[in-house]
Amino acid sequence: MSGIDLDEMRGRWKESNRQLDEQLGLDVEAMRRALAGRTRKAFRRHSRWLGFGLAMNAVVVVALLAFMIGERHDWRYLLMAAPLAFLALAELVVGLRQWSALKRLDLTASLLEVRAKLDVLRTRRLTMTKWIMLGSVLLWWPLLIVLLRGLTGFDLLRVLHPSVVTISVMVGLAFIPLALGVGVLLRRRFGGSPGYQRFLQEAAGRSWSKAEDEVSASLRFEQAVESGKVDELLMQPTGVPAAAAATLAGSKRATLAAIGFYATLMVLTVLFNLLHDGRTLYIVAGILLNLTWIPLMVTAILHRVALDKLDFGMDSERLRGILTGNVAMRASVARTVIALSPVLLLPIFGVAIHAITGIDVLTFFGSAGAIGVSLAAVSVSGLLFWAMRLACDTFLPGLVEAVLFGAPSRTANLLARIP
Amino acid sequence: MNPPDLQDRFLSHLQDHKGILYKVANAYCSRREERGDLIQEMVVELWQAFPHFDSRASFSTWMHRIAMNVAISFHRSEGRRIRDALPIEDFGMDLAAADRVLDAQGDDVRALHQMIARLDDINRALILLYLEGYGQDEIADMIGLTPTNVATRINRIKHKLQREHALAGETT
Repeated sequence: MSGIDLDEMRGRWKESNRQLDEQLGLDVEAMRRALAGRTRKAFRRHSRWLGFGLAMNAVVVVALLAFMIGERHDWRYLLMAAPLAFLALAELVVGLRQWSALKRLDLTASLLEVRAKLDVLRTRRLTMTKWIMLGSVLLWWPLLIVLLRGLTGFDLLRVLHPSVVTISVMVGLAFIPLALGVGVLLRRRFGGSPGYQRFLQEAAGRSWSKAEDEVSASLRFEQAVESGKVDELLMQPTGVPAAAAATLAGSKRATLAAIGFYATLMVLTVLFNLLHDGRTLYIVAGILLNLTWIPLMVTAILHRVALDKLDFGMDSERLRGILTGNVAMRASVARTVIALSPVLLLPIFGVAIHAITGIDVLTFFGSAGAIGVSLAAVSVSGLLFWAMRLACDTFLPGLVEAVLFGAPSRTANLLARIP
Repeated sequence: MNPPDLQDRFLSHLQDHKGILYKVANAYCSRREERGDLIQEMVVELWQAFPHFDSRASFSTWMHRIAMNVAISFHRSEGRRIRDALPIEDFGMDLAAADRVLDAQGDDVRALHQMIARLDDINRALILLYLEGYGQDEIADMIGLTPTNVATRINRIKHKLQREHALAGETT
């Protein structure tokens, strides 16, 4: 490539403007018609679309308030609808502020001013998304119960064993600090890794992800300029290399299968909660089961999203970092699940045997026997955790592979095919 | 001024400066269809802001400022996007022909465009304005940086290009 002198390029740039004006053409009449009609109509239609979203949100708030007034004598329903109404109201307020700020956005202001305003909007939306995500585990049962009551008048609370609601509330409450804590741990452990950075970008939303990609591309370019490898960078292919295409497709399918499997386990846990008779041991087990499937599911979804958005144009070290980072996070969760499995399997068997044969294993073994078996399971789990700490990445690789639907080996295979 | 007069004036300005729309869109969007959508979005925003345009000021400066803000907003997916925009060719704008003009300018112009596309959104705007011939003070005012900061950023980019040029010369 010949050299680039910006001062010399200025003259040629202006000359290209003249040629562009000649070549581009502009059908003034078509533009006149568009300005008078369709384009402005399209613009208004989009504004209406934004307004429609806000209106729907307002309808939800009003419906929930009406529900609360209607159920004012039943404290249980009031308690369930109140956080939903609060969240919907908060979402409406954030949406209104965003809509109003976008309407007032002054595009004649300086670029930095406009960008700062967009960043503020993004931060508000991120905060809202974070609280919706943190509250989702706590609120999905109340949402279902309130929906059924509001739409059909059906009183699910009368049918459900109190333990189901108890479990959902406890799981939801436990999830909030746990998710915040896991966030801190992940930041400490994987903070610098490209996989974790990609996780944050995806959690923050598509626009943020795009902006981050641009910054990364800029950094890569600056590094390439520093090392005199601009030509190499520009020549890098951006599509999936032929050798890696089949492996990548296989990895995507396996990740999707894993997501489906974890979703099935979550549904089965609901069944578990419906079948047991509300004993403390089973309530605790129900909480543990939910808290086990959620991280498996979340990390699998993030892995799948990362695979979908792999950019083979980025430098191979970063690409490898994203792939290994995602699998490392999933493997870390899988190892914990394996170590916990003796404790988890015990109540699952207990409930399954009770559902199939009618035999209550707790009564069958007696209190002393049940405590003995439980202690044995806890001890085995403790031993497994100890072994896991010692072995780290080499802890029961076959089982980890099975829990993750072959993600580690598929990733290693994919890495081998990246130039 | 009645609306038809206003529209005539606007379209006349647009006709004279349509290259700016292409260059800004080209810097912020890699795909041709996206560029077409972005150009239409710029035109709508320009048209809506035109009644407030001070005719004593430079149209191209005003146009650059709005076009780049729309591009950044479009780029970050936060803006008011026209989802059912027409193909840009319906307005007589042949983006493929414009691409050919740039291709015909030579390898260094192509490389410069690639370089601009890899800069962050603010540096991208800064270099575009610099290449268009704006002075440091004007760029500083449009972007919201200090003139010193503008000069420093431009120098950094220049030095990098020169270093790259020297290294490329050594290897060939």
